[in-house]
Amino acid sequence: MASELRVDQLKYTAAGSSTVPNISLNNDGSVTFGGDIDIGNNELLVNGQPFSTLPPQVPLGQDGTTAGAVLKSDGVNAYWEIVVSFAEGFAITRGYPAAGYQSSSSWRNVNRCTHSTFSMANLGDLLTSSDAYTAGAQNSSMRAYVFCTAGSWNGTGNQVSTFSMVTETNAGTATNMSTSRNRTSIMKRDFKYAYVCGNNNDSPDRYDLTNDTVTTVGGSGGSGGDNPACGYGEDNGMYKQGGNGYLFAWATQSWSAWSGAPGTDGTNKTVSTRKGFSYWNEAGGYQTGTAMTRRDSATGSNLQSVGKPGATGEETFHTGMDYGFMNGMYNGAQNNTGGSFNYSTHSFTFNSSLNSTGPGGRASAAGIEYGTLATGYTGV
Amino acid sequence: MSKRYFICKNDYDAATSRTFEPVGNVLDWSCFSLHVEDKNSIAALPGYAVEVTREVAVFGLRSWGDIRSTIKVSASDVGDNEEFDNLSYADMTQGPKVAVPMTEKRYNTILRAMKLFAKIIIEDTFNTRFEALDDSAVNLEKKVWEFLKDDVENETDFILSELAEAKGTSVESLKTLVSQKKNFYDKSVKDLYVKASALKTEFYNCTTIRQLNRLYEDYMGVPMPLTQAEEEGRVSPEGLRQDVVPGLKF
Repeated sequence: MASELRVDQLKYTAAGSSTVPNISLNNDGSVTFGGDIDIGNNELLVNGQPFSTLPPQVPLGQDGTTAGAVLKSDGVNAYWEIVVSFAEGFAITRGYPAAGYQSSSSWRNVNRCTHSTFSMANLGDLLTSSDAYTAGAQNSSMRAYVFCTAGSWNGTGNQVSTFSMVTETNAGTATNMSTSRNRTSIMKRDFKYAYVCGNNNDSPDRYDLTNDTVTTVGGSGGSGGDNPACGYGEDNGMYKQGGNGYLFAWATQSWSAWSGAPGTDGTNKTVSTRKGFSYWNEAGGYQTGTAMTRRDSATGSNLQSVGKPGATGEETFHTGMDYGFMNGMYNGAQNNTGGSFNYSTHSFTFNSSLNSTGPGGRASAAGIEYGTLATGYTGV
Repeated sequence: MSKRYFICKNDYDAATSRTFEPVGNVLDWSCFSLHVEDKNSIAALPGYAVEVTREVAVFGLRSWGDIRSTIKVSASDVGDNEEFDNLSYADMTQGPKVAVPMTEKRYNTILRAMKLFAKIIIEDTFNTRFEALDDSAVNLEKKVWEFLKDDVENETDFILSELAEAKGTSVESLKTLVSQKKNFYDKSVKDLYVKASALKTEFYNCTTIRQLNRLYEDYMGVPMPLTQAEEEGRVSPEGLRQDVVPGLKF
């Protein structure tokens, strides 16, 4: 039953009977109160609970929008928890191919790949130590980590060389890996952990990108091979080496068999995207002209075949928002050849403007991404 | 299908050609092949593109700077390497990469490839510097400069007097200025050519890959193999490799 506000039931109290009530009943049916509404102990109760207004809301399309945000409380204050998707959490604008090798020489060299212009720049020797067959990751401060930099080709080491992608200068070394490894690849859990896989140990080292600490996590029984190819998505990592293919759940840090895993033996690498899919080589042997496949990053299932523009292997890949990038590879010799993947058309083409420069060739290097984290995004 | 091999700058994107296959890359230059029948792509190559032999492209560039006595080639290329070296590699350990000896023929082919790239890079760099001498002048000024030089060299007066008056200076002062600028320009051109020639000769006279590696690192910022760097004291006793500074240093 609808309530009625009856003027004859409004009573004067402290103001006295001579005070004229400042309340207007408007033609549109609304009521305007000229003063505070003082109810009981200065609290407006709704269903017996104190009423408070929502934290400020920001419309969609404006900086810090609260559209889609979740209302939470810290016990005293309410706030909007902005939920940013994996795809939109990290706006990548540059990539840094780092280290890698040619013939039997490994490099300390780093290049910058600017995604907006598809152009490269040689930044020189930014790493403390060189490495071949290597992999890297970045933290939220845009410090780039290259893992197990042994200072030689085919060397086993546990040093972690770093550089700042903000200042593009050497940032020294970080906490050593627990396990010395050669020929590594990583499953990268966005801004939280890099699971460093590679020979010498079935159990990956989990490198904490928030505080530079290292913990060894349980292996799969088949995750200790030489020269794996790894990928990652929002909820899991992906691993392939020899005949061993696994998916690795971030939440539980548990492995599951990857049914129908791609054909790479691990020497031919992977482009992971932020769009729920990744591109995998389908043959091994350090180089192949066999068409790649696009895989669902969550399930590993085969989505489609993606032709190659020529034989490539040991690719130096990194990802962008709409394109993936190659800045060096092996095709009978280690070289600097560049190329790109179009994430809309799912095509892979060579592109000379993406050639790495400096050393005479850059195969199996680390590829590390630089960009801006969306407000509220801290990783997955 | 037979192929032709070319060297081009990276800013010419030959990768758009349907038969493009990359071979290797040094600094801003790429070596690649196009199929002989891909006439449109070949015709579209820029005028400065340099055609090279298959030997230089495949067996020279692919082993760029390699100082090892045994190198590795892809198993799929073993037949080509046997043919090139005129040796049988049937007994070599098989795997995805096969170890083969660095033959004298291969060594010399690598030398040729490295010298050719040096020549191309040096000539292109100095040509760019030469063109930059005129960069600040607009076309009208360039044409008038020709008139002024003619007047001074031939003692004519097509423009000297009129320009001197327009500038509020004397004809003699203007002639002196033209002579000074011409001498400076000529000297600059001469210096560029002499320096380029000396540099090319330095590369050309190399008889070992080690020597070329040293020049490439010192002049062009292309790092030499780590083993050679260690031999030449470019790695500290603590194992720290001396920085290789990017860019041309000539």
